[in-house]
Amino acid sequence: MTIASSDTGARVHRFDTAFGSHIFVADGSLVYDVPPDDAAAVDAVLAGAGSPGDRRRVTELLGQLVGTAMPDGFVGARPAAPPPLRSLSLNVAQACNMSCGYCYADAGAFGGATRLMSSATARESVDRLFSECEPGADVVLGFMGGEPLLNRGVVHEITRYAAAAGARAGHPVRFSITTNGTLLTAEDVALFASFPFTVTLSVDGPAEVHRRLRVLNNGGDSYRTLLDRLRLFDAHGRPRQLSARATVTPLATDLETLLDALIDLGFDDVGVAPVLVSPRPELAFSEEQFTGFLAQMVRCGAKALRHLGNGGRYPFSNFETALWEIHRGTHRPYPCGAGAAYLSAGADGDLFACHRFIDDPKFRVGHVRTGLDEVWRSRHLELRHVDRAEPCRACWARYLCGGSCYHEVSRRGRVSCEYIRGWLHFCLQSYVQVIESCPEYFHDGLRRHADR
Amino acid sequence: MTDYDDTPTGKNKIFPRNLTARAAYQVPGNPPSTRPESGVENSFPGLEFDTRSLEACFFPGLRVAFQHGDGARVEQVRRDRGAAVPASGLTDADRPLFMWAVGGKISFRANEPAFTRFTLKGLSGSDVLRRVRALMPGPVALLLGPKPVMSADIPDDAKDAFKKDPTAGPWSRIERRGGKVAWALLVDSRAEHLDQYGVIDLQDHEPGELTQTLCSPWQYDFRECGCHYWAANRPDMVTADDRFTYFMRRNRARPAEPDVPEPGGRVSFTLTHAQIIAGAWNDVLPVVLNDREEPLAVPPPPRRRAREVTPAQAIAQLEYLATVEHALCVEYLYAHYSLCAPMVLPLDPPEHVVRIFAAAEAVFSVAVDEMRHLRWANEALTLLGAGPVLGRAGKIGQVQQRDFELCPLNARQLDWFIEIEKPSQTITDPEGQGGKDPIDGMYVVLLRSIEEQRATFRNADRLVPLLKLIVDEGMDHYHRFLSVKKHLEGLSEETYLRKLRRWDSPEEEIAARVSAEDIRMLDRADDMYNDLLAELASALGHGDKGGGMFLEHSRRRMHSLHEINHRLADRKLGPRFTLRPQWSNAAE
Repeated sequence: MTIASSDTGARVHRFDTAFGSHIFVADGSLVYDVPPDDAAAVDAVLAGAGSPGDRRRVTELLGQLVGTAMPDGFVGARPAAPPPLRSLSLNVAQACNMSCGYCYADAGAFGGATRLMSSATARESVDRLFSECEPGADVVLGFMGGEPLLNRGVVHEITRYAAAAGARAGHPVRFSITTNGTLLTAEDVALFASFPFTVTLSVDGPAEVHRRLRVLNNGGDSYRTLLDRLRLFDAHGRPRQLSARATVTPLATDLETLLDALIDLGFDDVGVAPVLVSPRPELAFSEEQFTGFLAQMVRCGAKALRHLGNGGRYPFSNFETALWEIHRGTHRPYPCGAGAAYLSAGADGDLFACHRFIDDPKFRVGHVRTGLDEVWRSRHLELRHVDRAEPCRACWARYLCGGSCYHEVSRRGRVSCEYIRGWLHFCLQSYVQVIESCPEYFHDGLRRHADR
Repeated sequence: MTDYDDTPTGKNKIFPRNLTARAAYQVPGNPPSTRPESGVENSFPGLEFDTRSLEACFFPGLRVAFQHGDGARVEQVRRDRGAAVPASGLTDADRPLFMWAVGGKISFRANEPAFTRFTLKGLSGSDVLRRVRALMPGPVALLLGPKPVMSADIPDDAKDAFKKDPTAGPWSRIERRGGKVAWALLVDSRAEHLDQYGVIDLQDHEPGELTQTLCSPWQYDFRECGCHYWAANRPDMVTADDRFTYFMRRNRARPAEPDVPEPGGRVSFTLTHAQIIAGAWNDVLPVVLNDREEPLAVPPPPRRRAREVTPAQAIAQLEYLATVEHALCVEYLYAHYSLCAPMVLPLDPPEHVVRIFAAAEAVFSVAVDEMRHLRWANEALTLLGAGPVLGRAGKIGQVQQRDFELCPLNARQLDWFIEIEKPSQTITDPEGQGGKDPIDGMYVVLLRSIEEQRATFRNADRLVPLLKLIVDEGMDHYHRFLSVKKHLEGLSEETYLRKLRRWDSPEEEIAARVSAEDIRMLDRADDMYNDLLAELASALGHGDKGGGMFLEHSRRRMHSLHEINHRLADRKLGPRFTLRPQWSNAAE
């Protein structure tokens, strides 16, 4: 059977580099060099101008590339069965000491009353994680908010509880915390250094960018406060991973300067997240505004590429993560583990698909005391398979993207598809350059990325 | 298929870049098992590929054979490979040519010599191969001569030439006397064997060549196997008459002679190939059980016609057996928790902890088997058209009629476990023990009945293997409990047993002032135990339609129950294993 153009558009993507013509096969996320004649045939078929000979050539090419190794494809149409739980975040504080302009969580309260998670509920959450995970599996426990350090006591207590219980039960536990950093104490930093923590600090850029939208409720200087607290890591030890996450709005016009400033602060890596869902619409990207954002992202990615070529590193995590995903050939019909192997517990012990859906009844998945709603999980995985989604099913990038964040899609629909395709196109080109000119990057980084 | 331009740079080839592409793309040529970076190699002659076949082309332009006892010899001269050989003028007509000496770099360490020379006099082909394997990529010097190096004297001028600096190669020097090659010295770069894509270079090796000389252990006479890699289970050293001796000894006198290995190995006192083939394997060599020779042949019991049961009787028996599996499982679990063993062995534990842990693991493994037998017995009931039974027997064993009891693993309880799991010898005896069979005997009677009355039993084809599984697994439980006894030998009960507290009613717990937290945990364990039974009932109810999902949930519940029971035991509390009324049945 020969390939029609729409089929081909969903199956493959063509790109060129200085090293030749390449093809990306969606199912399996396979990257190949192809001879120029084959590349031309694919281009013609994609443009709808392919001759019968071109279509036959493309059919043969795809048959040769994938072969008979996976007769049903890598991904397959069958939805995943609900997997054992692997990761749980605890919303230990549905409250915050800041009022960031774009916060999707209504300053931590998620639209409800502010409340803190009790120690008993937190313990029950940990017990639930252990009882639902696979025997012997290692698990991840995250602390979220609002601002989790508003409930510092629980963070400290539960870290120790989970580590000890996990060791007894044969479940190694890794921890994560996302914090605005303004309440950090020496004891907190020591805790993060003593246990296997990934600490993510929310910081939006250089001082003037950070102060613009990240407002302390007590009126203090949010940037100065953060810098002061950052010094605690030098004094009391760094955690396993110290990352910065910058939330970017359309107001940000110089992403490169923003990244440089954050990298200079000494973070292990810096990631950026464009706002799509915000109580203030002007702070969320429109479809048109993504064009400019993509250009900035590519500029920063090119800078990272130059550093890699010179044997150095520019820890722009959006770019590095993409390189690794492409290198491994990650392919998945879901954007993330939300509602599957990852859930989030609200302050009262209700379980939700992820930390963004706290207190959203449509995404409630059970309670830490009574267990998981398996019917909901099965249905969620059935409905959200990317091959069922529009326009995803016709998109070559669907198994790298997964269909976009559930929260963003539920609130805004899919407005960033062109941006995502553009970004992945750039990353595919970058990947070929890195694997060609400095392949040792993937050997050296293996240890760092082994858990991802 | 398109004909691609075969340029060396690979510019016009399909080339997989990332990991999934590399995995998906079928590379033409030798099978993946021959890729050297993942290949398992040894020298007799190899497990995945034969290194002799690979290294046959270690020197570009020559094919060398390493299997001869008198050294390595050139089998073929290829004037289309390398640089030194074509320039040297050597051809196949100059053969025979034997390897006399070889040199190259054997280490990249800074303090190692840049070039190491090996004279190959007195070495067999295998030994020459070892030297060749040591050579790193880079310049290699090879001295060839017309006679085997075993018997040849290397001329002095050849020795002098070989000592010269081999760098700035490739080059060659051929000394001819009387029209024949007296010696030949060749210097070229060692073959790298792989092309730029990391696969075997097809210019040097035909597809299939690297595996064509592998041994086939299941066809070969293991006596002659030099590498001792032998797929079949053949003992080497055994105990006989309480002494350590060699299983394949020719002298079968008793008491057995102790083993005294000779410098050259044991060949001189090993049964010969001819003796084995003539029948020693069957008639002389005894059975070995647990590394011990069993001198007496145990004839199989005379086959008598077994009692047969009807389908209705089979259902009744399986319903009873399901409750017994449940009861035994719980007794074994309680015994496991009564042992003073951690759930996970810590680093560097004391010796007695290791032994107690081993005992606990063995008991737990039998408990897990019984849980599986409970499931299988119920699957058998479903196949016979009966409903699942998840009750728990109040009395265990039609013969023993022992009360179900939660008891720590003291000596008495361990003896009971050994007795109940002991394989029966009387299953074919029509008299039995008052017409009653031990538990394993009941399964054997069921199995025989179904095998011999297939038309009478629905789903006989599925029932037979299911029951056979239960019978086969059960035979091992007896030995495992014996091993538990061995692990605990010499340790006092105070050392290996926890003093678990248990009460018969909630009122007693209150009277004993058990803390609220402990009672909550005990309640939680009971909830989990009964939830587990509910999950199992659900799984059995869905049968094949469940897709394994319900069983997977059951497994997770089991693991949670195990964890909480260990936590109770750490607090010196014995799990209650309270069975809720909905699981009771007439068997109790």
